[in-house]
Amino acid sequence: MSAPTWPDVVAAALVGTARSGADADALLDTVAARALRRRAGLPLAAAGPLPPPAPVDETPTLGRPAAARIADLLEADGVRRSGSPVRDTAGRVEMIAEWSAAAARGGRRVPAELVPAFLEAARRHRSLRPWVAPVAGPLAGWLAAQRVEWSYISDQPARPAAAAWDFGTTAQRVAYLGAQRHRDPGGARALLAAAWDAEPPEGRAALLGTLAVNLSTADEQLLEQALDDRRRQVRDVALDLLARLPDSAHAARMSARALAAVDPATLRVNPPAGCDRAMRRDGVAPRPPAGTGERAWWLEEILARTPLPVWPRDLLDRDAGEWAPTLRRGLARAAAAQGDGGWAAALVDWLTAEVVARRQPADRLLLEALYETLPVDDLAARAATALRDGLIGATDVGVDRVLARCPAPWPPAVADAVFRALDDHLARGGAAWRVTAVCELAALRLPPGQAPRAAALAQRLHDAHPRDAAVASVAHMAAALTFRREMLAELAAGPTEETDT
Amino acid sequence: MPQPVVSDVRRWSADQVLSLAPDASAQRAARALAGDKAWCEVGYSADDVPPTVWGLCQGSDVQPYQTCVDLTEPAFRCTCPSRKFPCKHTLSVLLRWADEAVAAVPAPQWVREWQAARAETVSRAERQEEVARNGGEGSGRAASDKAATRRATRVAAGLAELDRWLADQLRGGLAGLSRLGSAHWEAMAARLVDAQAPGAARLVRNLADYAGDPERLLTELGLLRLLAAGFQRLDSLPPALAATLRLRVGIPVGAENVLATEPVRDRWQILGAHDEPEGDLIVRRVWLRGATTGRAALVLSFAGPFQVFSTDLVPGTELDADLCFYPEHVRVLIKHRHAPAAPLTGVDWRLPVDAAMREYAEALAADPWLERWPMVLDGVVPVEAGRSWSLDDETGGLPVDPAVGAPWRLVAAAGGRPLTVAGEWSATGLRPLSAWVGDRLIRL
Repeated sequence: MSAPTWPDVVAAALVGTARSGADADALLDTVAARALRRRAGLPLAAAGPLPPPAPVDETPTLGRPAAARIADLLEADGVRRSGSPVRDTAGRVEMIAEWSAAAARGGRRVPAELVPAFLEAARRHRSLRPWVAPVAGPLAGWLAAQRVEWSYISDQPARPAAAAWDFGTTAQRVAYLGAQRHRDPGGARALLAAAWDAEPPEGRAALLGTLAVNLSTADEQLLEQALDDRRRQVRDVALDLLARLPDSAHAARMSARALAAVDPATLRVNPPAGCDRAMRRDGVAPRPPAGTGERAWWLEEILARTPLPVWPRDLLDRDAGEWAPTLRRGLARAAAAQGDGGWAAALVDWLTAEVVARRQPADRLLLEALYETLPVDDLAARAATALRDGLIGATDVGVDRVLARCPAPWPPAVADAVFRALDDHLARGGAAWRVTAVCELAALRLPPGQAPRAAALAQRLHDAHPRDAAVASVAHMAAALTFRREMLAELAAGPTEETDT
Repeated sequence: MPQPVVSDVRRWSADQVLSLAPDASAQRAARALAGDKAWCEVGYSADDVPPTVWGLCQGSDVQPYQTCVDLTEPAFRCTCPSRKFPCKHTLSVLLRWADEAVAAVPAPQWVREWQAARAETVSRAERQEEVARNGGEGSGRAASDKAATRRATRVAAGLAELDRWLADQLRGGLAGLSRLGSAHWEAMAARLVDAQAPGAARLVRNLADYAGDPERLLTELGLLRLLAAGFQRLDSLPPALAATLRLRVGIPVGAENVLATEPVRDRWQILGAHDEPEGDLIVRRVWLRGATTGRAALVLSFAGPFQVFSTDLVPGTELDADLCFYPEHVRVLIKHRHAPAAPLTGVDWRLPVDAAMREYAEALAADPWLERWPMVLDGVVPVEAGRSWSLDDETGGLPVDPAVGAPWRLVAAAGGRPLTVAGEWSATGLRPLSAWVGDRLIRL
C-alpha cells in the first residue's frame, strides 16, 4: 500500500474518524509525518521573471545624521511626540520640505530604503510632490510604476474609469468630472450639461464646482442656467464662478448697476432704491445685516460683485463723502473675491484702521481675505509695520495671517520685528495666548540662524517669569529653530562620518 | 579577580551607539548634548580598569553628573535622575568617543571605585555559575529530585490526557473544529497549565489562530500528537531529541544548567531583531550566526509594560563570545564576552535559497516543533507574485510572510538587484529583518 499523500490525509481529517472508522491516533501520526515533510520540503516557487532593475543613481549618499533625521521626519503621520521640536503634521511637512530643498541644493538624495516613505508622505501631502523627483531620484519612478497609489508622480493624473461617471457615488463622479475637466474642459462640460436636469440637487452643487478647473466664458451658459436653480447652494457655486469671468453677461449686468449707482468721474453716489428679482438672481442679498442701512447694503453687494476693471485706478483718491466706507468695503470685497492684488494693496491700510477703530468681526475676516490677495512682496513690510506697534495691536489685525503668507525664511526686518514684539510683550507680562500663534509660525519660518537668539530669549523669560505659560511657546520655538539649524548643518556636512566604519 | 585584558577596543560607530537609545527623543537629546559645552571632562581609560568611557556633565544639578560606560559588557551608570536607560548623558559620552573626541587618560578615582564595585558583583555571579556547574550546592539536591519526579508524573498525566483529547478532536471532522471559538481550546490549555506543561499549553492555545485554515490546524494537531506520543516513550528517544521534547513540553531548564554546558566560542554576527507582544510582555528575538561555525543562535529577552530592553545586541555588529545552547540547540545564553561588540560589514554565513531551505529542513529534523529559524539569503531579489512577495535567486524563491505586508523598504533598497537579506523563517514565510547593500546594513 502506498503512503497516503497530504490531500488524502486532509480529506480523511475533514470527514472525521467517527464516520470513516479510521484510527484517530494512526491518522494523527500520519498527519505529523506528512506535515513535517511538507514544511521541510516546501516547493521553492520557480523564480519568476525579475523586474527590470532600477536606474543606477550615482548621487552621493547622505551622512548618517542627515539620513537619521529624514527617517525620523518621515515617520508615520499622526505621531505626536511630546517634547519634540516637530509639533504637528503641518510643521513636520514644512520641515521635510525645507530638508528636501537643502538636500536638492547640495545634490543629495534620501537613502534608497526611505524612498517608499517619501513617496507615501508626498502622496498624503501635495506640497511635498515637487520634491519627489529631485530628492528621491529615478528610484521613485521605478517604485511608482509598481504601486498604483504612487502613480501621482507621473504628470498625467490617473484616468478614472468611465464607469465611475455612470454608476459611481457623488464623490467618485466629482473626481471623474474633475479629471475630465483637466483633459478636455469642453467634453466635461457637455457631460455635465447632458446630465444636469436628471441630476439630484445635492449632486448638482458639487459637480458644478468642478468647472473651476479650466474655467472659461464657454462655461457661462451653464452657469447662468444654474442661477435659476432652486437650491441656494447651487446658485452660490454658480455666482462664485461667474465672479471670476469678467467678460460674462453677469459681470456686465453688475457693472451696469454699479455705474448707475456710482459715477466714477464725479464720485456722486446714488444707491439703488430697491432690490428687484433680477438683482436677487444675480446674487444681491436683499436683507442687510444689523446696523447697516438697506440702500448702503445693496450698494455694497453690487460693488462686491462688479468687475474691478470698470473703475479708474484713482477712484480712491477722490472724496466720496458719507458713502466712502460703503464704497471701500464693497471694493475690498471685490478685490478679495477677484484676487486683485493692486486693489487689495490700495484698500488694506484703510481697512486695517477700520478694524482697529470699530472692531467688527466681519471687517476682520475681510481684512484676512485681503491679506490672501496682497502681492507677496508687500507682506514682509506689512508684517514688520504691524508688529512695530506691539503684539496686541498686531494680533488684533491678524498679523499671523500676514506672517503665514510671508515667504520663508523671513527677511531680517521681519525677524527683528518679531523678536522685538515678543520681547516687549512678554516683558510687560502680556497675555500668553497672543504669543502662541506667532511663535509656532516663527519656529518654522525664521531663518534657522536665529536659533541662538530664540534660545537666549527663552532663557531670559524663564529666568524672569518661570511660571509664565508663554515660556513654553518661546522655548518650543527655540527648540524647533535649533532642530532646523542642525538639520541644515548636517546636510551641508555631507557623508564624512562614513569613513570611520 | 583578574582584569580581562582588552588592549584594543574597536571604536563603535555612531549608529551602534544610537541603537542603544530607548527612544528617538533620547537619540536626539544625546546628539545635541554630544557637542555641548556642558561636558567638563571626558576620558577613555583602559590602563588598570576594563576599557571605560567616562565623563562629567554639568546638568541642572549643582554637582556635575558622573557618567561611565564599561565597554566590555557594555554596562552603564549615570548619576542623573533620568528614568531612561541608558540616559542621554551615557549615549552622548559614547557618541563623543565614537567621534574620536575622547582622549585616553588614567581613570579618575570615582571610575576606579565603580569598576571595583562591579568587579565584585561580577565575580560573585561567576562563583554562582561555578556552583551551578558542579551540580548545585549539595543540600537542596535530594529535595529537588523529589520535586522533579512529582512534576514528571503530573506532566505525563497531562500529556496522556492531551493525547486522548487530540483523538477526540478528529472524531467529528475538521470542518466542525474550525467553527469552535477560542474557549474550546482554552479549556484544554488550562488543564495543561495545571499539569505543569506550559509549553504544550501554549501550542494548544495557539490553535485558536488557525480557525480559518484547516490545513494549518491539522498540521498543528499532528505536531501536538508528536509531542504527546513522544513524551510517553521519552526514555527510548535519543538523548538530544528527548531533551528538546522536554523543553517543548514546558519543563524548564535552569539558566545555571544551560551555562553548565560546553560553550561555543565564535564571532557571533548579529543578524536582526524582532519584537513581538506576548500577553503583557514584549518578547525580543535577536538572531545570531557564528562566523566560523555557521551555527544559528537566538537570544530571547523580555520587557514588561513601560520597561525597556536592556539588551545591547545591535544588529550589524559582531560579538566574540562564549554562548551556551539550550537543549533545542537554537536558544542561547551569553556566558562570556571576550571583547566588546564590533561593527560588522557583512555576514559570513550566507546561502542561496535552496541551500537555506535544506539547512532549515535539517533543523526541523532535529526539532520538529521549531517555530522560527534564522536565514541569511545570499543575493536575492524581492519579486512581486500576484498579491504576495517572494525573495528569489536562480535556485528558487521563498515567500515573504504575508503578515509583513509589502516589503517596500526592502524593494527600494534592492532596486531590482540582488542583495543579502537576513530574516526569520516561519511556517507562513520569511520576515526580512536586515539587508546589506554593499557593507551598509539596513534594518527592515
